[in-house]
Amino acid sequence: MHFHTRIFNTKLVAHLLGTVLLGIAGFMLLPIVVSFSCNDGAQRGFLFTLGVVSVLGVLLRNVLGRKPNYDFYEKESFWLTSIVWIVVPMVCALPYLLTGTFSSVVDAMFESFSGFTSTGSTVVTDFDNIPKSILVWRSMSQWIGGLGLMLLTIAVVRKLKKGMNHLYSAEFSGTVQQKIHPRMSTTVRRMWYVYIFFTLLLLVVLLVLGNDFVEALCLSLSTISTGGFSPREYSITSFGQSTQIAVAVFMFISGINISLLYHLLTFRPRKLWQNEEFRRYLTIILVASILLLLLLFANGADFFQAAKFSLFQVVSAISTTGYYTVMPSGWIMIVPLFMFMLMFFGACSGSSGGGIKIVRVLILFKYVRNQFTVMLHPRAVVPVKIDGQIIQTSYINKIFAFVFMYFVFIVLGAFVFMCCGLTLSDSLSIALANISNIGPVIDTIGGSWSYATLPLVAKLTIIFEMLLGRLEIFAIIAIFSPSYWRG
Amino acid sequence: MLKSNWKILVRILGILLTGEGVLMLLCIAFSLHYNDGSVMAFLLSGLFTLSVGLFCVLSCPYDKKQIEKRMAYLIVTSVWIVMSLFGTLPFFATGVITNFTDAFFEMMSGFTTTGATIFDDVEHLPKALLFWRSLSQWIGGVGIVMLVLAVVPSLGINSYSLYSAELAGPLKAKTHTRVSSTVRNLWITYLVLTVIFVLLLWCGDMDFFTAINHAFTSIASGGFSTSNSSISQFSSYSQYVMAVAMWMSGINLTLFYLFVRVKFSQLRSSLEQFFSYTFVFLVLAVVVMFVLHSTMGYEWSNSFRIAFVQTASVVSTSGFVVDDTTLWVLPLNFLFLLFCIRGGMAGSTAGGLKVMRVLILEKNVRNVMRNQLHPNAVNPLRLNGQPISNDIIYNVMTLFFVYGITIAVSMFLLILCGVSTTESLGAVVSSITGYGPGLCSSGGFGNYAHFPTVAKWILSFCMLAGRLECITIYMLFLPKFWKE
Repeated sequence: MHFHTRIFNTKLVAHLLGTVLLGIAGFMLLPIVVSFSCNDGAQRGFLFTLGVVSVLGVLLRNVLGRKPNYDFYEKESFWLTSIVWIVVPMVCALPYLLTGTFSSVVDAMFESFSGFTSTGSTVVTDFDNIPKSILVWRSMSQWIGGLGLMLLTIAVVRKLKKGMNHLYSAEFSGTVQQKIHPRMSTTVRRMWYVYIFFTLLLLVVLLVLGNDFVEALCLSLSTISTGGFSPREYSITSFGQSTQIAVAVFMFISGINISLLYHLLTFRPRKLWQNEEFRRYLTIILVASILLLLLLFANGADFFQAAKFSLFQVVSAISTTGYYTVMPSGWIMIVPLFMFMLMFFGACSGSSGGGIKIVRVLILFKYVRNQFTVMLHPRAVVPVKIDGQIIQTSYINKIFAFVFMYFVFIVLGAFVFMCCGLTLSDSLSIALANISNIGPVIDTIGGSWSYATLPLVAKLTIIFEMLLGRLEIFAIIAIFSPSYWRG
Repeated sequence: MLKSNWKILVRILGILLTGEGVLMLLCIAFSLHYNDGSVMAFLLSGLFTLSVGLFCVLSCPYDKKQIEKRMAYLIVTSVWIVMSLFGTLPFFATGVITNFTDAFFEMMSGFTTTGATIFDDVEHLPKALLFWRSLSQWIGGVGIVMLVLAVVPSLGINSYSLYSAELAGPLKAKTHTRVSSTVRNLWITYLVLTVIFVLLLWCGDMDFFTAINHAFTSIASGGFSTSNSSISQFSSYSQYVMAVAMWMSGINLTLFYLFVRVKFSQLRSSLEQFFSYTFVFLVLAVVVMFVLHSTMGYEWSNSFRIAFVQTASVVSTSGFVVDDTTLWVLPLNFLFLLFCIRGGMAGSTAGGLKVMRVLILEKNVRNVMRNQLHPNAVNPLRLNGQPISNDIIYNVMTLFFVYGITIAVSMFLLILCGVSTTESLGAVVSSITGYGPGLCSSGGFGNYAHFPTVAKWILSFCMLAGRLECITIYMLFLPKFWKE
């Protein structure tokens, strides 16, 4: 059945793209409400965008993609994923331009892509004069992108049956997919409920802690999506101690597989502990923060301050959120490097975090360990097991290939940045931080927190890296490869 | 099992030490000729090494027992360490180094054909000692080829199944007699190549001593030079000859043998790697030439020469330097690091991941992509038209993974020692691939003298790990390995 010469289902792709756009239009109501209540002058920009998005959505959904055939295969899923992830952030960059937040198109694109990929790299420099609704919109885009545009599609389009698995795995390429429910659409809808629940919970907590409503909203949207946009300059360093702790706890939560969180919420906490990836997630966080603490302590930092700092920073890196807290004295070179090691792991599969994902790294480590055993005892048969389930070698090969591509794109990105005149360590860290959707790189680009000063080519490369990282490379590369179009 | 086998280990080490002692004594010829005052030093260290070697050989008589697999791993690793340990003796005996770390670093860099040095000034060293450095690279270069092509496949070590796959028909060593004939053929090829390049270099502006040193270190893809400015002050003729030698040092040695014996049909089994290696060399050289012309303002003829010689040095992981590369633009230096990681061909004296493995990695990624779109399609991975088994592909992937982790962890440790990020990336990649010069202060005509002691040990480890392709050496760290 491969090599089928089926006609590409353009109608369905148009229909689904239109649906996603209409969904986005719905989400846009929130910043519009904020804009009107604060009267921050961004109303017209948002209303205009709302009009554009709705018209485009209706046009695609009900005119071009009217009454589609719901047959759906890999090819359409790659195509749809890529096109949605390119078109939606582009359209959603309009408010930035219309409200005058950015004068350059590339900057607006950068901010929008950084939002939807839940990266959190920003080109905003002047936080004081930004309309509040724009701040909300930035965080909103992270929140939508955090769970994913494809998951939005599955949740909204009820008629989709066959191809949902392809769509799901385009964004959530976990390994042992633990579906909460045998029906994909129910699973996805429950994931959204969990996601919304924790967002509201954090919002309430932040409000109780005495934060301003808009800031609390922004922080909760950006934290649960592991995005990392902050409504203030210098990440969240200027927020209160208790707010930072709350954010740290929720960063930790949002790095966990959403299916597991669902089990937690339905009073089955044992399932959480039975999950190997979750246990590793905890171990890595503990070991890494203790190591970082010791390093900082050895360099003369205050113990409690260093403890708080290292725990926060480790959770921020591994959940690929990218928030920073105030650094204690005794700040050394090692901290950024340490974070980069963690960024590489990434969060748990099936979470809103990015990176390679812990389960993949775990499988690779187990496989390599087994290879050593096989070299000593050539006749030994040692399969890789995760949660007691055997992982197929073809799947392991796929992970290897993925990690290889990851490396290649980090190196390629770094090469482009170097050609733009950045230093070696800056280039490598920017490439790594953006492909793993972390975002801000502390202490680089001349001590600035913003990517605003980078040259145009570098910004475009970063956009590409963010997209690659969010869609886990293959979907984006597939549409560029000739074999995709041939067969 | 390991315990009953240890005599074989001692015997093999003994044989090699005896050889090393003899080579040290050979260096006396240069001490006498140049009267550099190192006669006694070489005599003492040579005799000492020789006697330790003979003692080991005599105390452990020949044993017909089969070498156990684990023993083979142990032998391969300990050979490099013990050779380097004894190789440091002349440095102490002549008194040019008083520090054990430095001496060990220098020798490890020699035997692994890395070419990183801790000497600020090599020109004032005794000539015999310079020759000893070059000799260590020459031995180390052919040594790895011997191990890989002749000895290891006969032990059936899995991690090298790649090489036995690459070996051409008649040279596939299976029986004892075949092994010895393989070794002989390779030695002859290596010797002939060396002699040719000694003569070619001697014809130019180098004197006999300089020619022999540079021929030794270039054909071994080493990188030690007898002058502080590497090969930059030699005539362009010598530099071009060196470039050819370096390019050849990255080619599988058996190919030369097969070529001379007109066995073209068997050449086919390595053709793809050969073309990839040479093609990349030429393309990179042209790119470097254009970049140098436009950013450094060199004349075309100059940038042509510098680009070709330096690129040859990079793709073969030799490490000779023709121009102060630290002044070149950063992306170029970064590219060099990447192509060092790619390395030369398997079965050559060059280091790195090896062209064949990189080809397999590339093709595998393409296959995985294709499978993503057509999940039911079967596309076996082919190299030179031959299908490559999954075991080999997974082996390559494993090595790539382990290699990457080694680089990352070593870099991390180096930064902990207080070396800057850029410097440590350059130094680690350069050591593990056997290139030599790093970035910043250790790049170009620089050296590693100012590195902290711990950093030097880490780099020495990297050189060894890179030369033995990581897996062999990490095997020794597994608790499972030592369990009976």
